[in-house]
Amino acid sequence: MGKILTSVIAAITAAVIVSSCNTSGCLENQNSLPLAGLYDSATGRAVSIDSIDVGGVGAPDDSLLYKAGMKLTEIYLPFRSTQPSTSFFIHYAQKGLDDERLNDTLSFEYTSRPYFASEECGAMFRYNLTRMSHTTHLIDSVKIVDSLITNLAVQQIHIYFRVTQEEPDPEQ
Amino acid sequence: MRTLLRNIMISLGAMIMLAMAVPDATAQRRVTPVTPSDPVTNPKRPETTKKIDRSRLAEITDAQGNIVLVDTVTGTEFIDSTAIKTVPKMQYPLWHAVVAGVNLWDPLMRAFGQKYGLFDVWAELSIHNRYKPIIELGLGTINDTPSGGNYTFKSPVAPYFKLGANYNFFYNSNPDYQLLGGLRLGFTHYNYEIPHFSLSGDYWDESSSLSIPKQSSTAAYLEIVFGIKVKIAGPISMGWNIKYHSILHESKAEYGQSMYIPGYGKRNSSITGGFSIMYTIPLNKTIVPVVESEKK
Repeated sequence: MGKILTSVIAAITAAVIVSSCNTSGCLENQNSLPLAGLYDSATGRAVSIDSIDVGGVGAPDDSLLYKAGMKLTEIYLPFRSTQPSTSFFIHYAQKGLDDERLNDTLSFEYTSRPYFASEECGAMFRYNLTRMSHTTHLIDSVKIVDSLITNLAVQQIHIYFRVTQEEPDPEQ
Repeated sequence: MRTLLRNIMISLGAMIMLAMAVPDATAQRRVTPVTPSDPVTNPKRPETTKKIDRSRLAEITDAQGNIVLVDTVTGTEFIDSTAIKTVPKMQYPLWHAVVAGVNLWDPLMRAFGQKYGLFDVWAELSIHNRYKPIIELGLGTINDTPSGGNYTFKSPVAPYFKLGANYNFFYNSNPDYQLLGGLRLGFTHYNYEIPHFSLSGDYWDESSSLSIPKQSSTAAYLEIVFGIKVKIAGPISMGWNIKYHSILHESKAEYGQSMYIPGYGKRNSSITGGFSIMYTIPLNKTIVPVVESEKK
């Protein structure tokens, strides 16, 4: 009887140890979010911009995704899962450009299909970009790096801006 | 004139004889002289073995239990080679036993809240109590809605089977207690689906309820097993093991890979276990080594 009890206790202990060896938590996004990097069209280098508002066209309560004051090097542009296209606007908040008529707009058309990513990250849509258009007030060009939008946190879109670098103060 | 003729005849005869004699002399010079062989390689005369006078031998037993014969006059010791017990390389017969078992790991884990797996049965052939080819047959299923997840994952009951072998490290010891290492190759074909998942638009405030259609998959996986077996009573034993496993092959899936594979478990876990109750059927009567108590 003692042997049986010892064996059962050992098995339960092993079960608890083994069950605790699972990986836990979603290491990627829990949704398929297009990630766009911001670049200087002249140099091709990544830039940090702190004077733009970014929002979805037709978003509820005109809510913004990003507000001026945040230093941005890349931005997530969540697609509407119930629609075949989504548009975003970029408003420039710096002096001389703070005019809605100078806003740039990015529009994406896509197909979507349900996809099970993993136990931790769950089920979501995957998008396949079919068409993209944009205005060219300050945006020079937009490059689609990967047309398949998944929950991986990698840049699928590059947005190239015409950027003027601030001259460093000679007294500093 | 006659004298001259005779002299010529004599000279010719001498020359002919000389000519006949020269080849003989040359042949004699070509003969290789016989030299004595290397004295080292000379066969030695066998030494006459010293005869053992058995009347002078006394029998003693050394610390290891060997019987030693000692010549009481010369002090020379002889080990009685006929009395030395030799341990055979394989102490147990070729066809040693058949073991049948049922793996209760999944039912046990289900009692602790696991939402997948059913059970499997297996049979093992013990060869010399050392090599143990094994076959496992089982059923697996899942119906799980993880906490915090936006989906319910389902896979109906599907069969799986595994082929492999164990190695008993204590093959010359009592087979009631074994330390085992082994490999398994697992195969399964199964279906899975997500009948319901929900998406809530954080930014766009759009929610939708969707599903992922049924998909089929075939998977093959490898398991590295370490385990022990202990006898409980009579032919009944209990054993448990720990397995490291890895997926070798899996069908491509348009809507995403399954989170569960029958016989493998959840894909996010590289380690799992097994807990079996088993029944041993001996194929040959074996002499179990026992320590005899000293007769007083």
